[in-house]
Amino acid sequence: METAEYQKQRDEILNRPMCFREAAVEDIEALDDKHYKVAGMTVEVIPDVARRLDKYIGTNSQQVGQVKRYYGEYGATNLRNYLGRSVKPGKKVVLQANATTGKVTGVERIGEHMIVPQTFFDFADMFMDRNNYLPHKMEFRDNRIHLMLEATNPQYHSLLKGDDVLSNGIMLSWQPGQMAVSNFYVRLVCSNGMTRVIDENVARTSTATPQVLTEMLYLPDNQLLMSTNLSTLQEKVIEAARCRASLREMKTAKEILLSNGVDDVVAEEYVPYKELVKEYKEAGHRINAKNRAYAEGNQNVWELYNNLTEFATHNHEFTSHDPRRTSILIESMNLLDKERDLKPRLTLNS
Amino acid sequence: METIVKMRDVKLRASLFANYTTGTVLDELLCSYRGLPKGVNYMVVGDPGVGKTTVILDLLANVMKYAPEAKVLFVSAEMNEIDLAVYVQRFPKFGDIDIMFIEPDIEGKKRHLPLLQEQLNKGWDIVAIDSFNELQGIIKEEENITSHQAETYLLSLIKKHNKAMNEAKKNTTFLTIQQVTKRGNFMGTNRLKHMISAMMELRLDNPKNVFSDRYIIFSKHRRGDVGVKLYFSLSTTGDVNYNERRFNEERRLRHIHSNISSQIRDFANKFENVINTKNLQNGNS
Repeated sequence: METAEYQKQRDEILNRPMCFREAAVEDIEALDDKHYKVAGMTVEVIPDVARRLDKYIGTNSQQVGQVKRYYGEYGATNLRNYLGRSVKPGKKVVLQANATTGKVTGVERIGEHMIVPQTFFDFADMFMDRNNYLPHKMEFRDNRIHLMLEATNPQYHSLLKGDDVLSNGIMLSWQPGQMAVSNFYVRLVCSNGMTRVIDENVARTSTATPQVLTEMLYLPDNQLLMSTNLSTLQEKVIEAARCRASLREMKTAKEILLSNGVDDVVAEEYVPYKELVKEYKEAGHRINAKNRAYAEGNQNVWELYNNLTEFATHNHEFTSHDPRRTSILIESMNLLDKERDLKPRLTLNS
Repeated sequence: METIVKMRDVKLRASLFANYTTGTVLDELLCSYRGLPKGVNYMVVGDPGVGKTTVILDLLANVMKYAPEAKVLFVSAEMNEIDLAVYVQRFPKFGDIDIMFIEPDIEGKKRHLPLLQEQLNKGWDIVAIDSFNELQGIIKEEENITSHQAETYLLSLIKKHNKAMNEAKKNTTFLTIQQVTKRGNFMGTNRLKHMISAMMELRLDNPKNVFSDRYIIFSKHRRGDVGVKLYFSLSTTGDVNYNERRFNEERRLRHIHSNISSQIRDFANKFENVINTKNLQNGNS
């Protein structure tokens, strides 16, 4: 990515009409399922925002639904307000309104204050300048930015035989409630991306104070910290290459795609979960929550992971800037990090 | 000066605001308009071994380099000639600084307060005292007075010379090194704390590790920024090396942080406009 292109995209993002409002959770008053009162304003929220607000006050849509069934809309609203007022003081969220529709389309928890996009980009510029990085790719949506950086001095590492990665890439991420610095690796054989937050304690923050930003700015100086993820990743990759994926892991992988808005047909192409369940059924085995974890899939975990990262990196379903690409990378890494359902076995046919 | 004045009627020489420069990035920290101001009293505190004496002597030597006509005095109540001789061997640039040694006189025949008064009355541009606590103790013993009285004498002396009440009419700047408690806190009365122009702290990133990074930070500053760190290291060749790059980065980050509030307000205004517009269209209250 040329620097001029990065600056153009950056300026486009900063010039977008962004509407955010910080609010204490206890000050948000529910009026009904779709309307809330915030700082004297009546706002209409989308269902996802209502669900998240319910979560922040300690309930969920099922519970609210139950109360509504017996006590009506009035009862459900009272429940929400009662719980909202009981929340520990000081918990804050930021609401995002869509400038066109006027509805609140986003909400997330924040620290003392939200992190504004300008801070993120100012920090990103300083980070690149100080640590000798260049912009490689940027993904953005209303409230998510992922900026992948490549080092001017690239380093390579071998994960498996014949499978090298570019190992010193960095990803800077922004959302109104947090910023993070992650390792970003690119597999050379297929150019699929892989990402992992460097260290939750120092590389993820909900407050952009000068002290915290300074620590994050100097992260690349700490070689041990920077390389820890790579060692862990290598161990996970080796294990994944030796372990068969279970049907449970395949289901999780498919759900990663579905939850990011991928069509079921497309998701099935990459993770043929339904197909396998059908094959098991034809063989006389009914797959359910109990046996899913020890039913073998048709590929090893490394292949499963690679299918997800291939989709994330190379699909034509999303625009090139869509941060769902990186969301899938992050969730795929979470899947890789989990303990394996099926341990490697030695058989007569091995 | 009259008891009650209007500041617009107070006339001060323009040269009073021409600061002494060290030629290093430390100038940015010493004052918002760069350099060490005239007629101020900066207290210098820090963990043991962090380099207070070295940094101050280095500052004095640098000032002398850029202003050879400046009269600079180091009052040493902590180290004697032998200690400083070893010091100067390690840091030769300190060899040209005028030094007044003040040691407790066991026989009780010497009185250092009159000697100090006599020297200061000649008029000096910059006087560094190492340390205030030690000097106060010596004066207290020699004059047979209380600590509070000794502190009063010294503060009066400093204030008098800040205001150029000496033969050479120089607004003397004082850099007063002070000891800290075991917890690293300033050792001195609240009165002392209130009467200084700035508190310059020299700290270690990790107080339990003398090899950890060192920095200078002002926790009180009437002439400059508080809370900005300037990292430094002590080289074997005698110079104090300041990390200018890191200092500029931290200043830039502070500037970024200071803009956040206004940006959040802008976003909130846009949010309100969008919601109010929608509500008006829908006829909501």
